[in-house]
Amino acid sequence: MSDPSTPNNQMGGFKSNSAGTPHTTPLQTGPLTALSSISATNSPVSGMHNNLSSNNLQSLDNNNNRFQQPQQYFQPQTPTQQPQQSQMQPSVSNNNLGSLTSQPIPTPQQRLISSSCFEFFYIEMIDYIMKSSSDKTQAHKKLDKLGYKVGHRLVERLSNETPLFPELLDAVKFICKVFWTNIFKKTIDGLKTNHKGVFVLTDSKFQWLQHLSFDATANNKDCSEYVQFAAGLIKGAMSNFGFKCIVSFDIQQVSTCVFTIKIES
Amino acid sequence: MIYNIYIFNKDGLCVYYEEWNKRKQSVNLAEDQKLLFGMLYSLKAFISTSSPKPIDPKTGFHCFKTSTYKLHYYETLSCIKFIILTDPNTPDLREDLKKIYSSIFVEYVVKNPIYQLKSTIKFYAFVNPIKPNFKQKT
Repeated sequence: MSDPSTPNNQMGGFKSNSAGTPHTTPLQTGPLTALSSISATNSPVSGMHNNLSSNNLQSLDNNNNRFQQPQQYFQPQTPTQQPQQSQMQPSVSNNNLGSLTSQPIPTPQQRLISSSCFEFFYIEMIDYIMKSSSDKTQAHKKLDKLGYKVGHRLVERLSNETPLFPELLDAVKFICKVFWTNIFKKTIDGLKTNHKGVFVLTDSKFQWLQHLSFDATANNKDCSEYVQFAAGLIKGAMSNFGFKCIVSFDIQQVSTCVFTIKIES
Repeated sequence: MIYNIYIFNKDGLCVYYEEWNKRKQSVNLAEDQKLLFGMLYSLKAFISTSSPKPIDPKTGFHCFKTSTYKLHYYETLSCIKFIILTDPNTPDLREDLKKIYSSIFVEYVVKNPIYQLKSTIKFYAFVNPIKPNFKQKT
């Protein structure tokens, strides 16, 4: 046992000691046994995963059909998602960690992500941008840019099965239905237009403002920074469809958001 | 009848306090809150040492009762403590405290974008639903 020595010697000493000392052995065997137990519990579950993924492929096919027939993609997507969510609930409510592994774990094929996780990340992202910007207008510009890029890419991903839109209204409708459903699990609640390049989109339950609540005594009740990103998303999506536009928004009441799209010709 | 409610965070800071129907006004509120937190801390230690069987004081401690009030206690896994003081004849309110935690605290405090960690809570979406939650019981 030569403790004050060079790293090489220490490593040698560690190896020779590992068999004898009780401190090192549990550390080494612990993770190994844990791993083997996880893989053992996973193996019966993997069969269920296959079932789930095959179910999901079917539902994906439905989605594709929906894209090809523009009239049908206005249907809400929620009914297909609900059974999957109910499958997940028991694993969340169950306190017993051992039985958690025996529950079907959502696979990547299920295309489910934790919305809470995203929202917490979103909160921190905005917090970071607000703190790293000199003033509010600069922060809003940054958020708008971020949203623009995300919307630009996202719409590419969502519309690759869709035929080209001959008209501007179809592009806006796509954003109201497919684009919005993919981001917020709901469609836009109201769409108005003056047929001269101005569209007013109303979301009466805007997801990112759902949990926002101010102090009863607060003077400053501005929460526009939590919506600016969404305005950027719309702008990016529209620009990818080939329509240059300006998107402004207005927050009404508790969580009602009104987006105004102005097409620049 | 509900007297008052306390919510302590992990560090022992009272993030929310509200009182109803309390006849005796406290002299120093902050001191009272500290005292309560300290008392609960030692009580939990006492519970685990004095129990004949192994016990987790987080879940094992439900309430205690004196001739004038009853203290209901609920602690979450994240060490947030919900405490409510009622008159001694009130049935167990643990489930209600749990409901406050899961349906109001998590939804409107934890998920609230403008909530700063370790600050006191005054959000109306959190404060407003708490009262009617207990009005039925009183």
